[in-house]
Amino acid sequence: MIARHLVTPGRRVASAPRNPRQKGITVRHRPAWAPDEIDIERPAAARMYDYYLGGSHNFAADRELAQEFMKVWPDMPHIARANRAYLHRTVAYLTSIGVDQFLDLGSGIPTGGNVHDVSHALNPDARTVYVDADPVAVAHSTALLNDISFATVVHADLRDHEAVLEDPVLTGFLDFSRPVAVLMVAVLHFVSAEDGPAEIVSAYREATVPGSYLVLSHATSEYKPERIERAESIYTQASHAMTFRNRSEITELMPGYELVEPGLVDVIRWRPDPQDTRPDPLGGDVTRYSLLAATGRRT
Amino acid sequence: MTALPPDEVEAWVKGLASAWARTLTGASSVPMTAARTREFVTQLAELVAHAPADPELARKTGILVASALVDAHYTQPDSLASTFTVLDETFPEGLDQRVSTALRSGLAAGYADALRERTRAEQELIRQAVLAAHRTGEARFRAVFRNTALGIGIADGEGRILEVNQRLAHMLGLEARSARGQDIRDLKQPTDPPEYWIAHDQLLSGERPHYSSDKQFTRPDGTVIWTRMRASTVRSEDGSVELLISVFEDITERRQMNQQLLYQATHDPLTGLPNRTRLLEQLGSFLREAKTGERIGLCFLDLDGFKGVNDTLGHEAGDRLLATVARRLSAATDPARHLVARMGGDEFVILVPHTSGSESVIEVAEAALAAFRQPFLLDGHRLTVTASLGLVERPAVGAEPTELLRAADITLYWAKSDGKACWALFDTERNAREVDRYALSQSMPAALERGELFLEYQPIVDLVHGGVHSLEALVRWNHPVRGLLGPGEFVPLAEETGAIVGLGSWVLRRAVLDASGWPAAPGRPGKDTAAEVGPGKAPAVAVNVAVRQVREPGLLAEVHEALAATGLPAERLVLEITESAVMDPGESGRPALETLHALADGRVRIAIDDFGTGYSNLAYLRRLPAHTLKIDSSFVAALPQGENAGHSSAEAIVTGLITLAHACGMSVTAEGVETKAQADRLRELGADMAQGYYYSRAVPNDQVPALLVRLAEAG
Repeated sequence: MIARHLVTPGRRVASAPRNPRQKGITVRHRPAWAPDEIDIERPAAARMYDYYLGGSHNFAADRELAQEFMKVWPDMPHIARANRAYLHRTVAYLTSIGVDQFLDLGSGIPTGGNVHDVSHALNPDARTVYVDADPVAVAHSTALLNDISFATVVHADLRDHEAVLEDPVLTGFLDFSRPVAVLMVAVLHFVSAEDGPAEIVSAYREATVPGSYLVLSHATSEYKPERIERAESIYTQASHAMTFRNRSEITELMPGYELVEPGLVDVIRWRPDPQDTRPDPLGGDVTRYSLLAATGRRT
Repeated sequence: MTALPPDEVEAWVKGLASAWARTLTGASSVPMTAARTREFVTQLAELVAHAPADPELARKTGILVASALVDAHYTQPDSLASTFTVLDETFPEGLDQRVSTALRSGLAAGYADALRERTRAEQELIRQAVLAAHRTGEARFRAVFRNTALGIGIADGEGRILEVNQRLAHMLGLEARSARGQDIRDLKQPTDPPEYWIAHDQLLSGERPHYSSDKQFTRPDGTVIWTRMRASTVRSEDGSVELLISVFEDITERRQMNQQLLYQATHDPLTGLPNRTRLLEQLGSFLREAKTGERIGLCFLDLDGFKGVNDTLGHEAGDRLLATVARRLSAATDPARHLVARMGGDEFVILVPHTSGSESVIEVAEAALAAFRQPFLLDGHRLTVTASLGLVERPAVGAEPTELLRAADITLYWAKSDGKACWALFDTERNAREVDRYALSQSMPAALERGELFLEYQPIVDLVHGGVHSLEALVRWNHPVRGLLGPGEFVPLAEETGAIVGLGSWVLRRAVLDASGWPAAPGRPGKDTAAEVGPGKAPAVAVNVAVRQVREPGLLAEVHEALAATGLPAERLVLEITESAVMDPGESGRPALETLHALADGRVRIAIDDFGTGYSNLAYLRRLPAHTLKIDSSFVAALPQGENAGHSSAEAIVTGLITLAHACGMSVTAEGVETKAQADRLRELGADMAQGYYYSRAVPNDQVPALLVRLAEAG
């Protein structure tokens, strides 16, 4: 449901291709030399997320499927905003305790107020690397970061952690001998069980030093179980299938991290701004958000 | 809006800002903290509160505020609605309504305009991003297509080449330009297997989605490139094949390396011949595919005395000899029909498939032997080297590679024992006999334990004084299946297998024990009355000791133990040793001689058995601590009878042996005496003792006392 972040197939095609031209060919592993698949007829999770947020970085196919999804989950724009607000709060928190390196995995289509904006506003030395597999998202990010020296973008699939961690741009930009905050915000629910999300998270954990952080938010299946099947089936038509997980499944994705207070909680309950007296647009009903968030410190 | 006093303006700003902040919550796609939101809306409220009274200018303020909202990501249309609401609710009563209207008009127009611009800009941005991604992807693809080490070719659904990259053009030995437009089938090469092009027809007709195969290219300059080819098709919407994409990976080097490794694994580096692995492979595949009636032959060849070459000329010379032998064997055989392999060491095998009988393989063996006729030149030495061959020839069906090799190997040893430099043909009966002998030797230790072996004693008579001088212990085997076996049927076998050591020591202990119970031989006391042996004394026991036993370090101790256990005086023990046991120095010749000396020093008597049958070293004989020489029965049997007495070579030899023995201080025992005439003649010739059927066959131990009496009376 949440689709700020995106892991577009890149080299791997996770779900059945919609492109009718591909009928009859089962390409699970495309040859390395093949050009990226750029198809604006196929809804991209990243551009659907932009649409939920009110952006126009999207195409008709993205909007159609996003509207379809919003019939099942009408609060989607609020959920997307709450997710973004959590991202801002945790990046501000991490910057305030001295973290100055951010690795944003599945960063998607950048609109305003991205990780590098928030961190850099608080610490001019903070550096951010965005990673995404969607060539359009990467092209867009590249254009946006054109004149910015403290943030960059790497075109890679976060599931291919070796490719990400060995990317020369990444290793040239971040210093892995010092703490790095790894952000997987609303992205792991686009990683299916067969891709081994826990192994992926642990690979990134192993690549960082103790004192590094993991920032995570994840759609939960617990509050609205009756909607899950329909919601997941809609996303099978998008670039990425979606997998809702319950609280314990989400917890199992984060071994080796000591969660900072208040732990794994509903997204709007994670360190809310105490000065913010504005009413919650969904009346504080966490079930309507169905999104859990946690930030953990690598032990 | 100068119409209001400053404090009222300030109050308006406050009220407007707080209502705005509250109502705008959640309307921005970019979250702002509460403080930042407050700050932002306060700025907007200031603008509104200080809007000029001129409606036209106030409208511009409205436009400004609206675009600020859109810039701050308040892009949800709700933002405009709630802005109107808070303006209505907070608008001071004393102000000109035209200003309010102008502000609203500006807000509405400005918001629509800013949002439209923003939408257009974002749409443009995302389209640009798509284009950029396409460009990046295509540029990368083009770079890959051009520069990759893979040959890539793209053809249309008809098989017409649309594009080949530089690499594939190179593999084809063509210009990329001239390849375009050609039909892929025009590039057929004679080396292509038919299925390669059948598969391509199936690809183009849509019957198969992909195909991969190894593909050989012969370039115009004659060089050969091996590739791994993978082809797949792209279909159009109606399902027909639109594109055929083929990728070729150059595997020439890998293939060469594989072939080299395979060659190394299956060939002997010294001679370049196929090795054991390759031979077994070839043999195995021939036997697997053999049809009824087909036959196969095998020659197992081994150089005679190769160790000597290595020891005297060195291993390098030995290696050169093997390489030359390999060359000669290859030249002597037909590479189209025979396979010459080196098994290791100096062993070679010639595989002769499709034989028509044993002559086929004998012919090959003769040719191989002929290859050794010319001497070998090694380091200036002209070396005559011979080889022995074991041959097997049989129907191919039912044969096993290892079993064939083993049979040839066994046969090789027959050839070796037949005198070397020859071939021997595998013979099922002979093999069965050998297998039988092997089984017999294997069962010997258990037979000893079960008491199937026993001793009998044959007397040795004193030709001069009469009476029994000693008795020779002869071992018998009462085999549960084969019946009673004499020593000739199993002792040589035991010597071959080493079972003789256990057997010999049992015989020794048993014979010494039996002899200790023998009574004194009745008869007249001789002149040497002090001697332990002789008339009036208990006879001695003669025990055969094999070559292997003499070389065992424990013989001396065994003899002493046996004597000590029974109290038999050492003088009453005679150890019979064949001359080869002491004459052939071998590797342990000296210790053997030392053992004999030590035994003789302990007063045990030594007899040289079967004298005259081997190569006797007479010089050596003089130094032997032996007391008695036993003349082989073959000389005795050859002694002429009657009027021819005194006129034969046999008699001359016997006479010579007796003279020789006496000169060396030894007495002489003649074996195999069967007639009185022989006994008389031997006595005349000077023999001291005699043994044979004329006196008695071997008897069981319990009959020894009676025998002693009978022979004393006869003597």
